[in-house]
Amino acid sequence: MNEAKQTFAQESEELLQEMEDALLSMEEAPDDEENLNSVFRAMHTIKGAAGIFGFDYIVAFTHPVETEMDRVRGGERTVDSDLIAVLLNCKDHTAALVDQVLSSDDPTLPDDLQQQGDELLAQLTGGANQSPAGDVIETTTELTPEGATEALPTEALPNDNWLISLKFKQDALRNGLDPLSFIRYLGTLGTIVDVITLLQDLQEMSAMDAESCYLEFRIVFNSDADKTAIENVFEFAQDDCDIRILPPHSKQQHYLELLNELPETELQKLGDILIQVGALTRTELEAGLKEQIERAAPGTDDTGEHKPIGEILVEQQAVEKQVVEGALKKQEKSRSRAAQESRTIRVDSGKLGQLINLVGELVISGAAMKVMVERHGLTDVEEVASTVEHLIELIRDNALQLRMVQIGDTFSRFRRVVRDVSKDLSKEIELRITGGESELDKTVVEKINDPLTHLVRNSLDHGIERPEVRKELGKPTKGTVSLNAYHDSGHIVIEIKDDGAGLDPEKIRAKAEAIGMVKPNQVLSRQEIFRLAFEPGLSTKTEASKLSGRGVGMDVVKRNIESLRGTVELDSELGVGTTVTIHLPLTLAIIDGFLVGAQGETYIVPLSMVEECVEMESQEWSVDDERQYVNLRGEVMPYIHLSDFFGTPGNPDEKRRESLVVVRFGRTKAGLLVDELHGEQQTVIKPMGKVFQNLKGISGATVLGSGDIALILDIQGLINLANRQHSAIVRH
Amino acid sequence: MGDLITQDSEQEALTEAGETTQYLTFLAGAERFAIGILDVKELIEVSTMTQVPMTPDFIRGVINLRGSVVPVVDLSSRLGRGTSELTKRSCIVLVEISLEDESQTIGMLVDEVNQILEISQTHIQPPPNFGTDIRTDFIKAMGRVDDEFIILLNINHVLSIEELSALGELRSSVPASSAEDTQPEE
Amino acid sequence: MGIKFEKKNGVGCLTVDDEMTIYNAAEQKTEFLGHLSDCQEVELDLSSVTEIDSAGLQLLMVMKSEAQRLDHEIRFIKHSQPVVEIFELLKLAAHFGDPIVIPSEWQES
Repeated sequence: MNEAKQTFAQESEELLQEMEDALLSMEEAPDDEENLNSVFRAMHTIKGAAGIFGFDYIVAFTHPVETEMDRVRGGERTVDSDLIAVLLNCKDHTAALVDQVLSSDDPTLPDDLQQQGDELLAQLTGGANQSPAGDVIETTTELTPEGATEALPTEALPNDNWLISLKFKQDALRNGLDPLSFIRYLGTLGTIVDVITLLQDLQEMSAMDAESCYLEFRIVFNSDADKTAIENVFEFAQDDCDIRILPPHSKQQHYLELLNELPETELQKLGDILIQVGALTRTELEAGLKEQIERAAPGTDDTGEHKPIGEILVEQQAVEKQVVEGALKKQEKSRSRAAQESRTIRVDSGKLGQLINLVGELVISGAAMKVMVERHGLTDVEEVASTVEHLIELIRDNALQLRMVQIGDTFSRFRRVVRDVSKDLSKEIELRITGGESELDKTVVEKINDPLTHLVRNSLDHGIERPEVRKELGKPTKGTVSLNAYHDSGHIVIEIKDDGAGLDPEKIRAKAEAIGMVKPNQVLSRQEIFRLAFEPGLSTKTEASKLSGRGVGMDVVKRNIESLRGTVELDSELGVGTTVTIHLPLTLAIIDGFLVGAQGETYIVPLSMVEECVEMESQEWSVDDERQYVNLRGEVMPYIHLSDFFGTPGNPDEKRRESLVVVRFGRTKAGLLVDELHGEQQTVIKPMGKVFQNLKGISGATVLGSGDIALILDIQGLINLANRQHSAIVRH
Repeated sequence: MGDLITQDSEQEALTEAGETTQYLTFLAGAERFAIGILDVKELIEVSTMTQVPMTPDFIRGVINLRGSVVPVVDLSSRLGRGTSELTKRSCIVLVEISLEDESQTIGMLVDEVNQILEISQTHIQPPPNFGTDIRTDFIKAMGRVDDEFIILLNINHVLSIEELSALGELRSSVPASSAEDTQPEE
Repeated sequence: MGIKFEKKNGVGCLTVDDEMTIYNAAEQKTEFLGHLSDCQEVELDLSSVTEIDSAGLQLLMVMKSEAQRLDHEIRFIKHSQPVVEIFELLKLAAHFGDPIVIPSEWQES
């Protein structure tokens, strides 16, 4: 039962998220049928599933919401911002009910939840906007032009053709119907101007049942006949066919409806879709295309990019903007649907974790085997062993890939946060998201949610100023928060940027001095000052806001991120804005490492950070002991002498034959002086446990093929440490 | 490792009154200590220990325990009696320490493992206020065996993760202000 | 169901010598699918198609899409009059992309 509950909860969560996205979209496009359907579908499906499981209180709540949504779909109720707000609350309440189901088997709801639900339902159903009757866009036969209560422009499109949509059902042919004969008959009543024949997507011919009907037609028909006559043509097809007839001069609304019924598996250029629907004529399309081509000529546009054909057509006033947007959304949905096709399968994340652990052990065993092969000089086994190693690498990559998810899903959740918070604070804030396709390990994604939320809230709360203030400062009244993600040398980089008030380094410094963290005459770089913002005890706000002032400060954010072996930094310009940059490893499980030795101990450098290795006694580099810099072919960078730095004992009399490993992290480069270079190796990252949680400079350990443990270096941490030590020395 | 198991012929059942508990005794820094047998997860021989830089002396390093990385604390050093010298008899006692909801396996490096003794409740006394240079919170109680008193260690304090990890921090982070006072060694 | 197959110069040449209606659609589909999978290039001679209905039309459409999916080529040639008629009714000539030759002796029906 528990597993079933989990599945129910997961699926409900997904549906509720869709519902929320749809509701947020609805604020811009209240009549988009897809959105209405999403909301309806969410309530309907959850209600159904809850009914099967006997979660009565969920049924009791979702049922009235579903009914209300049905009324909205049927046109009996219009969508307005009040309704959307109530529905958003209903979504939240449903989520709370699902949580309740998970936490308790008790069939009765706690009083507060029951009350909340009752209140919401009352808000939803009582005294809401009722549009006058007669505003119904329902069955195919009742499409007379109506009065002024619609939100859409009442001018019809310049088109005096009928639009007939025929969707034959699967058994049509078996039941003796021949769609062609109906169409032929139709032709006797007028002129068939154009026909689009659609064959439902079958994927493969072998999957086809040759006696089933997969055909659909969209017919543009010119005739003087009246509606009844045309309907009668299809009298005998009614049982086996979905028929829709739009008379000439139909409203835009109806074209939009028809657009939404196009099967999504059809990917067509926007113009064709509009023509199909009859909202455009081919000449109008051609004229628009011509202009697009002309505009795309280099030098005409700022970016040299194509102006989307939709835009051009609207400009030319060939098509109403809403119809274009409807078609665009359709295309977008087709594209994303096609990209992700329903070829997914639900996998328990625990099982995936187990698989990845096993792959990790396999990696280690593979390394052990390699060691054996070398040790015993088994040259005839080498090739096979090599193949095995390569295959293990592929399995490893594939296994890790299974757990990668796009960060875009996480980013999208913030839309709701931004919307709610802006309303609460009476600010105007836009959220821009880029790089959502960037992928990272699911375990990392889950853990990054809290720190991200906090940072976004910071921007909303303390960063972006109120509209009046922004106006005074000459900034656009609408503030922008942007979330961006991209990959860089084995890491994923997440940026949270706002064009708000920015941080005052002077204030930060002053506060740090006041609490004794920094000495008055201490020289600090700009970077270092901003780094102080992450120290506990430093907050430049005079009072905690109700949003971010719950004691969860930037120091906790930093700690959370560091526990993921990531780093966080911020940069800001007073009055202009702030950018917080987070670096995270792509996976917590396995990395490609480069083995080095220093005084008998083996260490691992993440391979993605290794730029080059220069062997000892090369002329290319020299060390400046005093100033702690290494000069490599004229480029100067700080260095760390690993064995010295780690204080591992060594014989001072022994001449040290050293090599230099150049590592790069972001824009910083540094050199590591080591005794031995051992080469590449896949390493499985083993956690070192809480005892070492505050250890800087070491990010984990791994087991080598020999059974020995090697420590994995945290290059960023090491560089920071070295810099601090270095600046301490310099100051003396 | 010596004879590990010595049990009285009559083994009393664990009841409220007069209950006896079994303790593992061992030597560390030339002194004898004991911990409840239920706290002992495993006893293993000393194998290759990898040193972890920038940690206090009493953290001897880490070992590979069937694929997991386990830290090893030098008990003698932790109790302030200097670093242990590794001999043939040296042994690692694995215990499990809990911190909030999670537990962590930690190894204690001892000089020698001795017998398992049964000590009855009546022979157990609260720790003394003086007379020993070991931190009082490290001592759970004193157990009397024949004429001897054996210190029963409170391992949750001796191997307190909070302390073990905090001390790690003091050493490894070199905040700008404190670096002025101590010259880091090159 | 009357399907003849011959391989000429590496091209699979199919001729349908029967009607293409719901009555033989199932059988024809299996045959067509087989030949289409086997041959890189297929030519379908429609000159003897005496009658064609929606089921037959569906077959023709599916064959085109399947060819595309497999990256094979299929051409319809010598469309018979019934075939031409429905192509014209549904304005499908462009969709299928094959040139249609209309003999001069056909009268307007």
